[in-house]
Amino acid sequence: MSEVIVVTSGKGGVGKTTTSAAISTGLAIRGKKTVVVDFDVGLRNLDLIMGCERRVVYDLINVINEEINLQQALIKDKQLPNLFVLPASQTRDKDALKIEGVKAVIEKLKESFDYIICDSPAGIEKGAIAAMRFADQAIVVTNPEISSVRDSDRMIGILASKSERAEEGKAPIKEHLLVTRYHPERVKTGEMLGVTDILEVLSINLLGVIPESKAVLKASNMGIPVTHNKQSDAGQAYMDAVDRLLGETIKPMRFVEAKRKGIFASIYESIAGE
Amino acid sequence: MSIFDIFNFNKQKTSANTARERLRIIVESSANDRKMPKIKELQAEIFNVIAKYYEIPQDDVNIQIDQQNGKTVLELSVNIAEDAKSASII
Ligand SMILES: Nc1ncnc2c1ncn2[C@@H]1O[C@H](COP(=O)(O)OP(=O)(O)OP(=O)(O)O)[C@@H](O)[C@H]1O
Ligand SMILES: [Mg+2]
Repeated sequence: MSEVIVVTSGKGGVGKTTTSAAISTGLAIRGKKTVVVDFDVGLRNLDLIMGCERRVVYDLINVINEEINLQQALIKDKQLPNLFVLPASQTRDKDALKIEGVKAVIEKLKESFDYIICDSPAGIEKGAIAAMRFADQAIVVTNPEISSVRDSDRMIGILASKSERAEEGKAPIKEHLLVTRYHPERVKTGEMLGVTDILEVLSINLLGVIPESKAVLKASNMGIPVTHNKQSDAGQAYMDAVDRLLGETIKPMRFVEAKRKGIFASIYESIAGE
Repeated sequence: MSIFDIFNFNKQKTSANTARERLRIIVESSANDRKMPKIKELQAEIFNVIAKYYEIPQDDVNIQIDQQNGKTVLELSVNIAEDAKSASII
C-alpha cells in the first residue's frame, strides 16, 4: 500500500521544501521506496535542496503532457538507491498542471513507490490544490508565528473540502502538524508562541517540532538534505518525525525545552551546524 | 580583492563555498541556454533518439557546453547501463 503525503502550509517560506526533502530522505533511510515531487511549477527549489539541479532536463509537466515517460523523468538520489526526485518545470506556469494529468502521474507512482511526498507551493491556488488533491495524509508546516498559524488553520479547512477524498466522501486526509523554526529559548522568555499555544488553535496530531537550526542553511548550501546530518538537532528532529509517521507513537518530543547550555554543548552545536 | 582573499579564507571548503560554486554552474548554464536557445531542444531530441532503443533515466544523457581555447565545444556523454532494458516502443 502506498501513501501520498502532501507537505503544505498556506503561508510561504515556512519550510515546506526543507521538510519535503528531509522527510523523504528519512523515509528512504528507513528503507521505504520514496519519491518526492515538486509541485512548485515556475519556481522550483526542491532540486537545489536535494542537490540534483544539474541533472534536470525533463520535469513533471513533460510527464503530464506525455512528452516523456515517468520512469525516465525520475531522478535517482546520489546517496540513497530507493529515493527519487520528480522535479517541477522552471519555465511553464501553473496552468500546465492539468488535474487529470496529475492524477495519472500519482496513480502511476503508486505502482512502484511506498511513499509519494508532494512539495506544495505556497498559497491556496492551482499548484497547492493540485499537490493536495490526491493526498492520503498531509503535513501542515507551521512556524510559531501568528500569521503562519492562521494560514495553517485555513489550509486545514481546504484539505477537508477540496481533496478527492473529501469530494468522493471517503475517509478524510490524515492531518499532521509540523512546527518548524522553533526557538525554545524565545518561547521560554515569552517572545514566541509555544507548541501548546499552536496546538490549541490547530487541534491536529503533532508530528514533530523542528528547531531553528544552522544545519538547515548548511544542508541547503550543500544540496544534502539535513536528515543526513545525524549530529544536527534539525536532522534528529526530522528523523523523529519520520519515525512517528511510520507509526512509532511513543517518541518523546526533543528540542522543545530551553536548555542551559554549557560551553561544550555550544561548541558541539556550532561544529555540527558549520 | 578583499583581505579575506589574501589570507585564502574563501578557498576553504565551507558550505557557502559549495553554494557559490553550485550557483556559478547554474548561472553559466542558463547563460549558455540564452546564447544557444536550441541546446535544450537538441538535448531533448538526442535523449528521445536514445530512449527509442534503451530505457534510461534522463540524467544519464548529459550535454555540456564548454569554452576551450576560444572555441565552443559541445560535449555529449551517454551512460547506458549494462542491464538497461531495450525500449518497448520499437
Ligand atoms: N528549521 C529551520 N531552521 C533554520 N532555517 C530554516 C528551517 N526551516 C527552514 N528554514 C529556512 O527557511 C527558508 C524557507 O524554507 P523553505 O524553502 O523550505 O520554505 P517553503 O515553505 O518551501 O517556501 P515556499 O513557500 O517559498 O515554497 C529557507 O531559507 C530555509 O533554509
Ligand atoms: Mg518551497
